Amino acid sequence: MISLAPSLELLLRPPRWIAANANPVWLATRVTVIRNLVGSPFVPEGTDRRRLLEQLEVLTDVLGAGARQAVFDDRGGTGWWSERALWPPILTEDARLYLSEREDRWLILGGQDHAVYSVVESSPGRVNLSDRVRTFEEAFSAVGEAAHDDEHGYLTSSPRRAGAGVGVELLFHLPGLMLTRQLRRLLSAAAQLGFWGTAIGPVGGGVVTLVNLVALRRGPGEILDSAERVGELLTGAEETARGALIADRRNLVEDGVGRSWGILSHGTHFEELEAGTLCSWLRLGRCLDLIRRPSLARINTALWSLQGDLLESLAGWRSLTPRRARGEVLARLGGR
Amino acid sequence: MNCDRCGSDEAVVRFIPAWGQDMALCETCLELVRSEAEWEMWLPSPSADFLYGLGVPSPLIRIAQRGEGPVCPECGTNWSDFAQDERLGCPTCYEVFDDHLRIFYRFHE
Repeated sequence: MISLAPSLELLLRPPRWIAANANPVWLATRVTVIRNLVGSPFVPEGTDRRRLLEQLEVLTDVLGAGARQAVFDDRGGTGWWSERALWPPILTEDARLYLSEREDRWLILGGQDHAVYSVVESSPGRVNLSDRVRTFEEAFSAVGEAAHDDEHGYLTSSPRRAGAGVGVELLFHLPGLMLTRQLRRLLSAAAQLGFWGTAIGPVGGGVVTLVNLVALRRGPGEILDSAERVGELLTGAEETARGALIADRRNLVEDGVGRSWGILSHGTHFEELEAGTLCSWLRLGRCLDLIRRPSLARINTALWSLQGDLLESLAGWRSLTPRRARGEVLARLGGR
Repeated sequence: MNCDRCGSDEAVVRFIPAWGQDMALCETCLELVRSEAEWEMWLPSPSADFLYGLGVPSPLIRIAQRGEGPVCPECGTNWSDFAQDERLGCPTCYEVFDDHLRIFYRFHE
């Protein structure tokens, strides 16, 4: 068992796929597979629910050695983990959550669907993702027949995911496209490939998530192919934008990076968007070799841990204001 | 149900963006929100049945009165349940609500 009760220690120890991420642009790809067994409601109750959970328990094998069930407490609830995983809050209160040792794979049993399996790669990782999806599908088919029909494909509690029963999310850091005002155009281009982008509001500073909204009459392989094209498109454009910034406006970039480091080093009360934007500048500066410290891992941790809901949980627990909690997190990360 | 924008008790649609809280709007606020250009950049021809808030298109679900619309004989889900949380109860719901769900499938066309 792993406790996911909110704590400063847990906040400063994010999952390795984000903390140890050295990719300058494409931070992560996450694939989620949703499956339900035939002959049962999506959320069975009572005896049927217990029987279903027992039947599905064997699926935890796909998480490998060291997998653990996560437990929550009243202070953080399940929302805390949803934010920790940068994942929309689909975890119902009485669902069972199992995490792999590195927290890069997880399995939800008995939530809004019978089984939801997610895997994150902190790089494009196309082959690895396909293999892991296939492993889960094989494990599920060994448990029983999946709810499926010819018109809708795999049937899920949300009609948004019917079809492949697969969701793919892409996480990027795109400050170059933001600074050169090209982000909107590039996200429109990604939309033509079936992926819809939105900035992660609480983080700000050019961290952008794209999600596939098209799963009907497509297989996981096709969706991953589109994801790869989107990734190549945005990575190429961001690298070009960063190159142009250094060539044409190096002074401006150096000023933004230095100013951000100064404020983060000495400030104590930060608003959410401000903190996210400053950390984004630092990450850009580190990736462009304009600064030697802090480490990329430390910047990633700061960007991740500054999310509003995470801090709200921490603030509520420690009787701090979110602004003060944000300052405390940054102080700890900066070694102050 | 109250409109989340103006607080009146005449919300007519709900939508659930891929990220963020679900939201209910009355007719007046729906038109006002539509007239703001913020989300229209994402698609070349925004549809009347979608709202492009937060950059992610979301189907507008007409709010139904309790008991209004079809009811799934397998799990008892009715359309007003679905309008509350955008969740179907069982595989049979796909047949029962087929006409109502077509708006979701337009993403895929």
